[in-house]
Amino acid sequence: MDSSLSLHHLIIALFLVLLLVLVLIAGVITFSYLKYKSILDRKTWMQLIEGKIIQTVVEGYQPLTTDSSLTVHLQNASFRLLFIEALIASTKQFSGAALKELAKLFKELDAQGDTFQKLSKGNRIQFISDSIQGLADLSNTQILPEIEHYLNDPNPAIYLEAQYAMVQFKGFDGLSFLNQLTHLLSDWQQMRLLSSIKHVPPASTNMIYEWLRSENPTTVIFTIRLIRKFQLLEFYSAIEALQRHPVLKVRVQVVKALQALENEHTIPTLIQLFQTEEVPVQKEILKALKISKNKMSISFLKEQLIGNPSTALQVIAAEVLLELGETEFLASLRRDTSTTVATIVKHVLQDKV
Amino acid sequence: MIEFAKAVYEIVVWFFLLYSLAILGIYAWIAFYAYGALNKYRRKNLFTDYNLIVTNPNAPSFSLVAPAYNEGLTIVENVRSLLSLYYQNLEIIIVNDGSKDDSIQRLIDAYQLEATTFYVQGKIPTKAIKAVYRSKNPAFKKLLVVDKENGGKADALNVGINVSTGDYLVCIDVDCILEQDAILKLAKPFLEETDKRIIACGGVIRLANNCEITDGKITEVRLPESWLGRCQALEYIRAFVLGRMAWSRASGLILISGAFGAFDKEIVLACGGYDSKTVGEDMELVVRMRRYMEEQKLPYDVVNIPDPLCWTEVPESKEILRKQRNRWMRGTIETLWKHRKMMFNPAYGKLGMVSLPYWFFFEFLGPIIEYVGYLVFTLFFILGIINWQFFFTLFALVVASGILYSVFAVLVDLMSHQVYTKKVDLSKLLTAAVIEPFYFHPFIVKSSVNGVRDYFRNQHGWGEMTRQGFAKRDKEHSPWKHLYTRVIGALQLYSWPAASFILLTLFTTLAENKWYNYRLNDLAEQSMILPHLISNNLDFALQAIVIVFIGFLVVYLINPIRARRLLVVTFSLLIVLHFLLFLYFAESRNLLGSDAFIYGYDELVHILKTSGMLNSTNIAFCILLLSLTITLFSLLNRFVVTLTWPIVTLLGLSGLAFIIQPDKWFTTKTEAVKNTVTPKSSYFLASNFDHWLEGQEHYLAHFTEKTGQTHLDNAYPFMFEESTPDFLGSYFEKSATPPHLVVLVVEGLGHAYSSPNGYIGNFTPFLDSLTSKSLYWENTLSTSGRTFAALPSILGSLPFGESGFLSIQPVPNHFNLLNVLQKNGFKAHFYYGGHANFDNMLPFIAYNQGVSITEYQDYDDTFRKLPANSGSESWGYEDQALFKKMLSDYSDTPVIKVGLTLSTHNPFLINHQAYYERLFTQHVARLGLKGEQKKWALDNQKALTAVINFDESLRLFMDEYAQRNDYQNTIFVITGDHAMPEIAFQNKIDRYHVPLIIYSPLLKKSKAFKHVVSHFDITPSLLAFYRENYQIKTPTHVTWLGQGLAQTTTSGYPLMQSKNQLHDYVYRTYHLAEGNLYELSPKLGEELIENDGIKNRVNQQFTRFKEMNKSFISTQKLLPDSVYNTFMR
Repeated sequence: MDSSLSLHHLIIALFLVLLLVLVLIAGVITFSYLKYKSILDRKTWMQLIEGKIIQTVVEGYQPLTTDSSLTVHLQNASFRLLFIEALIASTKQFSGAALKELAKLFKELDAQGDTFQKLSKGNRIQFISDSIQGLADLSNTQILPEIEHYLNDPNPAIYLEAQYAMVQFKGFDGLSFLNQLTHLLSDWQQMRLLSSIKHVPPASTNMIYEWLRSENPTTVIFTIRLIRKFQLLEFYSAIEALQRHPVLKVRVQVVKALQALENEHTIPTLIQLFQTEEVPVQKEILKALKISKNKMSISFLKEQLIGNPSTALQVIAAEVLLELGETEFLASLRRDTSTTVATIVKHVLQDKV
Repeated sequence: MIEFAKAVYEIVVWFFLLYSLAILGIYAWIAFYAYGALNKYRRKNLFTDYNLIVTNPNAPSFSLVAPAYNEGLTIVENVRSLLSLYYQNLEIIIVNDGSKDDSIQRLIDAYQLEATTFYVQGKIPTKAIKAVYRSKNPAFKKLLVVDKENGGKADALNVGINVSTGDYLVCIDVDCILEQDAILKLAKPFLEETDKRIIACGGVIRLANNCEITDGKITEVRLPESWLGRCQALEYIRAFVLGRMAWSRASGLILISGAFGAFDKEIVLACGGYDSKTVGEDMELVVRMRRYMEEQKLPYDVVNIPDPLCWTEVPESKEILRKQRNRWMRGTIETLWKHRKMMFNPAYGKLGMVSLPYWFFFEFLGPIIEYVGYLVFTLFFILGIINWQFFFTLFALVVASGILYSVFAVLVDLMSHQVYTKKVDLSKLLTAAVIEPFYFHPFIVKSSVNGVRDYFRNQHGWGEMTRQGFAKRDKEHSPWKHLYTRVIGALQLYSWPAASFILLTLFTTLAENKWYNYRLNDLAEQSMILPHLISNNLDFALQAIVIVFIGFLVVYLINPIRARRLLVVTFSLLIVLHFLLFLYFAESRNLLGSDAFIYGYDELVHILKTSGMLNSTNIAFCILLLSLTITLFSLLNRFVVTLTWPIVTLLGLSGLAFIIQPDKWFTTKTEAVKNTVTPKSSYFLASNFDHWLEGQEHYLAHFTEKTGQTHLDNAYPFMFEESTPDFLGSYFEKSATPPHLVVLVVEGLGHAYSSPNGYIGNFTPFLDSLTSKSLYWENTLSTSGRTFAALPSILGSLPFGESGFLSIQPVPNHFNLLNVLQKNGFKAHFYYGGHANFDNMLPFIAYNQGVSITEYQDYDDTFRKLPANSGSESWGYEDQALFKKMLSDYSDTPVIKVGLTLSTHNPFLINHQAYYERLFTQHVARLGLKGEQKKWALDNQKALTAVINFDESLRLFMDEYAQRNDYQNTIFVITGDHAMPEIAFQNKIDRYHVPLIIYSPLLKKSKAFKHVVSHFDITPSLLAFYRENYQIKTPTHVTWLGQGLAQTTTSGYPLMQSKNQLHDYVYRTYHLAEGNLYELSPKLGEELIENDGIKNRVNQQFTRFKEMNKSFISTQKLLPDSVYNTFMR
């Protein structure tokens, strides 16, 4: 091809791309303007919505149709969605009678039942789990099959919300998904689930034992945290049996749980465990001794302060000794200013310079 | 060359075009990918309840580390803001990095601090801690203040890490204002980790300039007041909302801003904390952490969350901004250099294959390439070679795309975070998007380029340190040790440039081969060229690095700085020289040697202009190439290799290059291939060195002669008594008056394509038909490979002197065909279509007073010039015009006309090209060429078409001449000045192999002669003919180099390939060429032979000639004035 011809073609091609870019600029600016308008609208709407929510909480439910400032916007799906979002946010602030009043508001708002369908799947489940019980008078039979279906969704955003919703609806029984759980449960998810469980039914023992034997370490950790939270003393032995669990994070949680379920064997067990454990678990043991405040551990702690090769453990040991009232012992150690131990002790005693 | 320069010009333009398109592509990807990431994040966190973390006993602990240096004015307020952060398990560590103001006292007073003993558990090496303060007030129990010696931000952060106790670190600038829930939001990604460990997390940083701040909190968001600030606001939106979100989603993020970022402390400690030697400690830490995880084969991620969590003040003064960007660029380079091992290393996954290459090509090279683009644009603008239509289109596209990207960023930000929601702020941001490419962006590019410059100037960790080391040792060691140290220093400094020179030579060799493939497609053994070129050029490069090192070392011992500069210039020039020489060779098929310096300035300009090589594009290319090589070697010159053994080994191996002669390994090459694979730079430099040496010998000879130690027996060694026999007389009818003589010297008319016996074929059918009616010497030798020797040899049988007889000024007294015939009443005419001054022809012709000269300016508009390539000059007027002029002169008195043609000169452009191409095609078909011959013909179509054009014009000339009255009494002598070097030679002798035809209606019979004659023989025979048959008076003593056209047994012909390159000598049937002896076959083929006896004999003859020539060079006299004057009187 002739070179001038190809250059000419190139210029034409670039020019066409340039035109496209200019059109895109115009498009983006126009869209930005519309978005800006919608943000302004949302601000106005938000004021109206918040006013209505406050009114409902304070004065009790009054139909939306009676409020002329709202009726003009109620046909707008975006407005209804924003209203629902605001209602969800408000459920965390109110309870009892106020929540019931807000539920009536929701029922009217979602008369067609299609508003929350506009939310993304994950958000919809989250919406359900967060607010449905408070806001909507829907029976579990209607909702649960759909949520259970989502437990096996490949998208984490969906199955995590489904797990949460199940627990929200069914409480402890909602944790049954743990039986087959292969995904790892993040700390965040564990915190959410634990915060949603209000009590552990007596008939759950077998299930908890099952989870403690799970091959999924996060299931084990979650269960240990559950036992710790609800002080389920009958599982002490089962927890103790996990001392040799291959996953370090599990063993750290074991120490925490043993301390929470403390009995007369706990301190000797922890001290014995200390000798064979890795530093993170050792740290956790020392912290457990600190919380326990059991004088049985004093001699052990003194040994650790003076002889442990890890300065981090020495520091914690000194802190525990201080917590156990061994001030004089510590004071006696700081006289020898040249040693590390003395510096650690001064550090713990927060000596002024 | 013109095509090559054009190709280079196009490569430069295409490079910038493709680079621009690559950036546009990446920005488009970032825009869409970030948009998706933002939507995903927004959906995921729509109903997130962060209070969950606040009250949870399982929430991790965070240590917030804020280094402070001279922040006394604001530090109390800033710490107050930090103390109000909403997170339960948080410690706040303020590290006073040796401030010179009262920062520490203000903190002590404001927060009731007291110094306490503190046991620092962390082991990262830092400057000394002066004191650690805790507050007596339990309200400030989260606060820990460390006072330390000044060591820089990274060192202060390391101290903070050492004293911290949290699971995670949040490193911030102390003057940043954090959102109340910033730590909560940062904590969430860490808590969400499952199979991949989150090792670092960043948030969006916004500009606090001009915002309303109350009690350490942003209460009203406003854009900065200055455009500089607003452009930065826009830049931050683009960087954080788009760039980092996209890279975060792609798991390729390697930068968490130093102003605000959270890190997994365990990994930070495992990596050794911040690197206090770099100015880009934030990026370096993230890269090192990622590197650690990759090497440990642990799954991990670095994430960025799009929430605007941190507000910081950006510089609104250009000076501070310049320094900041300068520092950022230096930090980038330091990090890339430090972790260069990972670049394109698949073992490091996305980090090595995507992230680091992206940073290298677009973040580091981006500003440099843009800056070079401005320079190239300026250069092209000055040279006037910009295609404005293309430039403006591309420029507008780049600017518009930048604006689109900015506008899109503003839109996405508006949709997701709604920070700038006021109409006036949005308008200002959109305006900033438009002015930013013209106002802010060039400033940032310049600052970044300055950063590159400063980086290489300051030499963090390489040059400076080494030099300091040397300085210390200088004082301690003896002179010998000092010398040893300097030599080692020179070796270390030489490593990179030497290695790079070899690599660049290989690169230019590849370019050379590629160019030959394109331009010299008629060459045989194409596949053999590349290995030969590589071995020969590599051999030269290795020799060069040894020689250059010797020079470098000498200068280095005297002045290291000048030595380094000299090194840069030398290697750069060698690379550029290589390019120029191979381009010259591809264009002319001649190896350029010392003859380059023989031509006068005007001649050089003329040659270059007519060849099309001297144009703005080529000049731009040369400047660009030189700039690039100088830049490259300047950069490399900064790197010092601490190991000396690699360079010592390299130099040692290079020494072998002086012994090994790779060109000896290949024996099957034709002459053309041999020339092609010759290392051009080596040939050029060696030729000039030899020439210089010869000059010294001449000087010494001159000196010794004067002192009487040795001298030549004869002051006029070429002079002898005229006794040339009349060889021609017996072939001619005798006319009443002396016959007119027409001598036609045809440019580039070689035997190979003007004879049925030529190795290409007969492309001069008319000349061939004339041959059969003429006296024809098939094995005639021109005396040079160039035109410069043709006229003196043909017309005067004259020696060369140093670089051709024409170059000797003033013209020494001598006899030639023109002045001898003029003396006998002939009228003399010289015709040329170009500028007669070229090659100093004009003084040579004009020396013969009374010669009528027709040259370039004597042609009017009725004559056609030869076409020229665009941007170059025409050589002059076509052969048809020349012949027309020759036909226009008519005289009753005897006349000698000498014509020198042009149409067959490179670039072989002729008028009515299409017509002659048709003739060429028909002629090829008629000849029935096959195989190799046909391939050669087709490969050289352009040159051979020009030959056909000449032949056709000669036919018309002869036809017209035949109509004239003087035709019957005219002798025509036709020969070529040399063979075309553009058509590949089979043998060395082919360069000189031309036809010689003497035709006349007076001829009694035609005859073809097989014996070897040369141009030197023409004048002696012609004058002998006139003398013996027409009683023309000829000089009694002459200086002919030839003995006439009869077969002689003692003929020896020196041949000067190019100006001052006197390496060939033909004696009887032997050809001595550059020290090798060849035996000539009856058809003037040749074969290399080993026969020392013959070789010595030929060498003796050649040496004898050279001595005679040297004598002539020193005296510049051929004849005693008396001999000349006596005849001419």
